[in-house]
Amino acid sequence: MIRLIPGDPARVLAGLMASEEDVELIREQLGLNKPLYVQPFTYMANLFTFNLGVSARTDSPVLYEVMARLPNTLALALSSTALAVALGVPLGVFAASRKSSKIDTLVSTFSIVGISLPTYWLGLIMITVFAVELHLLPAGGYGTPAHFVLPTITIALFLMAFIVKITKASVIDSMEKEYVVTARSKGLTERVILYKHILRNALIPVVTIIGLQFGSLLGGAVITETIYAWPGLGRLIIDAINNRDYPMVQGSIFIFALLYALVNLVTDLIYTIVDPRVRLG
Amino acid sequence: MLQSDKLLEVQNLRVTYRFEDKKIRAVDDVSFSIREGDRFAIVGESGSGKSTLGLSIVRLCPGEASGSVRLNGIDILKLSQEELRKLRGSDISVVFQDPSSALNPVLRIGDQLIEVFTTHGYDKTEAYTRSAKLLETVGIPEPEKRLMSYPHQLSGGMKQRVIIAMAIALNPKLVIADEPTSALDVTIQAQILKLIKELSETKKLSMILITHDIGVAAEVCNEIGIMYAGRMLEIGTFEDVFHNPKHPYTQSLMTCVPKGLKCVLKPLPGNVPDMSNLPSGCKFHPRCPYANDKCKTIEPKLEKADGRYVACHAVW
Repeated sequence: MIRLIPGDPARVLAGLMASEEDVELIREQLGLNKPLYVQPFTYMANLFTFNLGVSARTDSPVLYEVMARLPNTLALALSSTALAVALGVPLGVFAASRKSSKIDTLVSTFSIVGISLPTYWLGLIMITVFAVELHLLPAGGYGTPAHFVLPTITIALFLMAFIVKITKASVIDSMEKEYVVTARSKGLTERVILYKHILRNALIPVVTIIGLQFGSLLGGAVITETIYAWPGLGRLIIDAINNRDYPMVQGSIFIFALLYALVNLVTDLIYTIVDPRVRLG
Repeated sequence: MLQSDKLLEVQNLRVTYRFEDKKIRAVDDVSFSIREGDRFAIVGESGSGKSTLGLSIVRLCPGEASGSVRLNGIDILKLSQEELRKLRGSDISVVFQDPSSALNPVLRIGDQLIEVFTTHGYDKTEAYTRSAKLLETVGIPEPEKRLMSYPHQLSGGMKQRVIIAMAIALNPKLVIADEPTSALDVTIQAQILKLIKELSETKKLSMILITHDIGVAAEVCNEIGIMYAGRMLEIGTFEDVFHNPKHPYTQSLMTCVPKGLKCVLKPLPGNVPDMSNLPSGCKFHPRCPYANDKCKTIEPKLEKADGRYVACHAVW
């Protein structure tokens, strides 16, 4: 697909002053002169040895570049997921246990707004307010804890709104189960019923959602990283696409896919803790 | 005031469900009472309001209840939430229909059994030993291993034994069993029924057994109430009502019970009435072979006749 975009990586790499021979040489090095149907097979064969090729732009190995960016993305994904879970789950439970109250309406409205706000708009507004007008926080970049605040909040807000919605729906669903009537017939307090009987069941789908969301965040929150000039995977991919850096695009997407699969595996393993029915033997 | 020997006295109980703007009265003006040691069967077709009636006694039913339900003279409908909580599980307990959905799938059997004790003031070690003993009482082998099991590791019959164990844990004054065998297959049904019967005799349990199966009632109960469209039509001892039914509906029900090999089953014509659009007068009159003009306009009240209570104008 990416080959359909006009532009020649060999020419970018060779620079403006390069001769036609140099460009041809680079093409040969990158294997770009081979037919289009051969290229993916060569690439896949190399994957088995984790040879992701060399960046067409910087000349350094793709794996090295990706690994240099990965911790930044990981840090942002972790901080925003942690914030979203820490606030989203309790809010969702709270809204469910006071269904149809004013607080529930407020929380639900907030979560719809949170899901609907486009990230690029929210990001720009936050930069305008907190960085440009109030000078409280840096507008972008990476390094100090202060740099984390705006991008984390930008991602967490959407994620949290989503988690609130899922948690609330799941808790309400569990509340209507028959085992809740059983629990009530035993004379348990409503508190025990909520925390022991309902929550354990209600959190199973929430864990899935958190896992999936965290997985996709590892691919780099492309828009957020671009707005805040965050040196993560998302921006690496965007830059690579803009420069027709095919090996870099393919390499980082491959790593992303690998991580995504890994996170899903971990989510499934967490399942065995939450839900005894999926435990073996 | 006279001290009554009645354990439970239900008077003029009405339970109403609201669906949007519609009101449906699932239980209408039901009165009956239970003495200590009685095993009272509530028998009726699906939708007759028998489960609603049973669960409303401990206020586990979402409908609005009016009237009075007195346990040893104390009106359960007037209790505060906290008083109600203390009564549930200790004075009155419930056995549910479907053991697979009545147990929490993510909690161990032990957790679910032990909490019955701990919520009513027992300490944990005491609760544990009592729980293990209890599982043995209801016929579960290797009780200590089973306490560590999750519900999905047990068969349907075993799960129902666990539910029964929870219900008798604190020697309640009254056990309400809502179709306790309907979700089980026939051989297991017989085992569970035998267990309920044994427990009710050895522990002298007072019980309300809700069922659509007169055979199940016959195994366990000494008193019976026949429900139809949210009303009690006939209440009496099981012997009287079974062998000499007075109400035409009870009579037709009894012809639906196979007695021996050569009997002919006579199906009851017509359908259960629509609860949102009940007939006038006696609710049974459209299907009743003896219905007269009075039956169509005036609803009969439960009146004493021949040693039991019957609600019928045509009773002779």
